Amino acid sequence: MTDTSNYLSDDDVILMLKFQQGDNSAFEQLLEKYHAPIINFIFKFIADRFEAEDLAQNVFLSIYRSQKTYVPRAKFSTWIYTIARNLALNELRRKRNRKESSLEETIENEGGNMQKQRADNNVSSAAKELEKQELAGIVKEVIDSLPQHQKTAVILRRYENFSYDEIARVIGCSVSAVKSLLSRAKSALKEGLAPYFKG
Amino acid sequence: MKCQKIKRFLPLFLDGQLKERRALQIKAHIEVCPACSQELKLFEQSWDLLNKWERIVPSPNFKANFWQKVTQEEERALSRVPVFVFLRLIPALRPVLAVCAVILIIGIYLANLSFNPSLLRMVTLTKSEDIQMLKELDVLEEFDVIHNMQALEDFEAINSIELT
Repeated sequence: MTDTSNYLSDDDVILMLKFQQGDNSAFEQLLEKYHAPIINFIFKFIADRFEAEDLAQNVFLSIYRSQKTYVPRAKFSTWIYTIARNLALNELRRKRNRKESSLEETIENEGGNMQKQRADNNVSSAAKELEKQELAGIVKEVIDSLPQHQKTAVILRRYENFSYDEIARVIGCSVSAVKSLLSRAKSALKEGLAPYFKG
Repeated sequence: MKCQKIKRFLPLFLDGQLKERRALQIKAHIEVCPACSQELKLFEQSWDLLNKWERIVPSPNFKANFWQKVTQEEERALSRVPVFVFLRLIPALRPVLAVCAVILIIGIYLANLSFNPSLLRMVTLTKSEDIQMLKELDVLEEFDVIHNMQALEDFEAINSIELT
């Protein structure tokens, strides 16, 4: 049995194969089913709904483009979430690089007045903390503070109900690595959220 | 098992990812250990709290915008089509086009030859022009001098030669 035939029991893979044979309505069904989960998944990384929608469109565009070359090598959901994760992480990396270069510029322009900058940051982060009244904001912040792989694993497990095996495929690691990632992530979440538990 | 070790297994225990034997050990320990039982509760609460980060609703024109993006991309791709892209599309035409190209090159070469002005002039030279041109050659201009050369007149051996 080939790798390809292993995934023929996946309804979404079947839809993708129909799309490959020219059935555009099959692609529309996939778009309908996955657009909201994919937008939400990316939103958990990017935290900007417009950017998340834009990136989600690029995810579907990349699937649309692969119409001729598609070969089922994983469940469709694993494949689409892997594309979404890669696009989201690339976007984050791009943003981080831009932020770093603008920070370097600021340091140069201010003649290395770092002490003042640190003091300002402390004041602004305290002010930000005061502003954050909503628990959702706190949850988001705690998840954001997780290392990238832990964050992906938590989002896929908690919000997308992925199995450990599926998470391993999306991240590209072993199932035991996922167990370790989720254990450490859950410990960090417990520490970060403990002050906000009721009772 | 000591509490320290039990606490390490709690996240996987909650997720049902432990082997049955290990899960039973932990369950038995939690029933008698308030500290580990409290730790388990904290893990549960923090995991539940993630619900507070609610899902967003996609904008109603998401799909319309997507199809617009597809159309734009297809239009862009069409405007970028290189001259010979049809060769890729119709591979069977390649040998035919190659033969045509060779015939075209040979045709251009031959046409160029037949319209070469110097060759054309050679072909159209008249007889009188030939004579005029030959007269202008240096050797013929000096013909009289060569004919009357003293050295040849006095050369007896040459004069005595009989032509057969």
